[in-house]
Amino acid sequence: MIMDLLLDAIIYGNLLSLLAVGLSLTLLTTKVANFAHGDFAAVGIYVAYTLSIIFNASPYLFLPASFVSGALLGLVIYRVVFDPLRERASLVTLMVVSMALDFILRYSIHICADVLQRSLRVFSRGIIFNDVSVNLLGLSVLGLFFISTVVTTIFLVLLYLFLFKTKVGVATRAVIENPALSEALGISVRRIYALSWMLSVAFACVAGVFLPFRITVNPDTGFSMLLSIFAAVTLGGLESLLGSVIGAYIIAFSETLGVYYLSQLGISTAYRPAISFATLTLVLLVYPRGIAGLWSKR
Amino acid sequence: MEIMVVKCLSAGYESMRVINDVSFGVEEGEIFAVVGPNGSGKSTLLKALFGLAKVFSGQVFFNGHDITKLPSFKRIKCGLGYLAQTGNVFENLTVWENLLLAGYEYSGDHFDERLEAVLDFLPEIRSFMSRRVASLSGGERQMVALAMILLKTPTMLMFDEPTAALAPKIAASVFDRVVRLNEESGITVLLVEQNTRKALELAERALLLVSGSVRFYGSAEDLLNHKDLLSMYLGL
Repeated sequence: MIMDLLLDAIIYGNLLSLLAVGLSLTLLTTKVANFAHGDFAAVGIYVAYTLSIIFNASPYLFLPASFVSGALLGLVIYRVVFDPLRERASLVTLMVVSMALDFILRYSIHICADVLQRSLRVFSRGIIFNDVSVNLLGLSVLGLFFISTVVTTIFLVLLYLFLFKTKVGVATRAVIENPALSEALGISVRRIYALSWMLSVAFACVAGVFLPFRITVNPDTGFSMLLSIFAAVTLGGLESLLGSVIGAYIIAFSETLGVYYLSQLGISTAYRPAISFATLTLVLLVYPRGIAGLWSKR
Repeated sequence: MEIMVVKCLSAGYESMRVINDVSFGVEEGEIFAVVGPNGSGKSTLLKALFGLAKVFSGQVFFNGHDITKLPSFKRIKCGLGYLAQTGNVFENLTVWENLLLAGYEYSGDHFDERLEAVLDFLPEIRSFMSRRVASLSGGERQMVALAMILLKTPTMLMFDEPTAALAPKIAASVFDRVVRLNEESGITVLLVEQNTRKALELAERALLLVSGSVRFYGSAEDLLNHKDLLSMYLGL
């Protein structure tokens, strides 16, 4: 039982880390505390679901399509919504705009779900994807465990290589630190911001493809994960991608194990969100600057 | 021939004017000093010349072109360089990464060529290329910032108090490099410096700025000999 829980926590940690890294990236670059971030996962869910029905194939095959769709959506959202506000809006305004974006996206996904249901005659809410199980040392392990772990690892390693080994990646880190100096050196800050939005939404869409393999989903699923994503990013220290990844796994483990032990004690599992915040509070009491404070000298 | 001409420039931040109706010209190949008491608007003047402060009125010409409304990166492309007092390097990046970004628009070969030329001028940098800038001393950071500007091949460089907070020995080496840049590379220098006497000794011509307005504009030697102005405004 405990092994099943740990495997589920790793799967949840994989999904949450993809989402948390994306949220962190746009927070670091464009300073947007994006309340619509969870909805991007829902976009990933419905892109993979629609394509898997049309082509009658496993949703795993549409991970690249979800990534590309997410990147395009990120570009459009940045160019249409946040770029025009770049030098005019305060941080609070940007946050409120992201809340409005959340409503627009969520209800657009609802409309798309309705269209999907009518046009293809399939269920578009309460979706769950079938997965294969592999017997490993007497333990039945979901294919999602292997695929999500491999994909998340590849994505995080590629993100690291991009940020530290490529010229554009170094420029991204420079823009995060000092956009004015970056601009003065001839780096197009707007392009870097657009790129960070593309990566952020693309990562969230990929996480979205994995979600229906684990839980029953609907157009509000992404939004319902928002608290956990923010908890992971805050736990990570708000200014560190690595911190966000570690924060995501801490939240994933505490939620998964916490819910199990709550149920063992006969307490409702509806307290699940409270577990994230209890963990967040405890860690911040010990490390007020979050996990990144452990290695950041500032 | 004047490489930079400033006509009736008034500039500042948001609605606050810091410099008023400032006019002067900088000759190609000279060292030009801007001196004045604290808060006289010297740094704001440089920021306005580089497009980092708001210009209310007036014009700035560089190599005969009106650059008053150009953004900073376009002024760099025109050949204007600016070494700010602070915030002139990326502290969380390594020295190598800072230099890479300074040559962001260059192709690989051109970048390598420029980098070699800059490192020949500032050879000390080779010894700390892989270190994070945050771990460097003030003098080393200034050297990195200078290298970043030199990578852009400027024809005129504006220094905003390049020796601020540096030990006297390191400050002397900074002055030495400023002179070498001017003499060996023919780069025109506009120098704002807290060490007024040293700046006036290095410069051919100078501008005395007081409360955002010009009090003196002419030969640096004349200003050095102007005991009343020096004692009244500069405490010398």
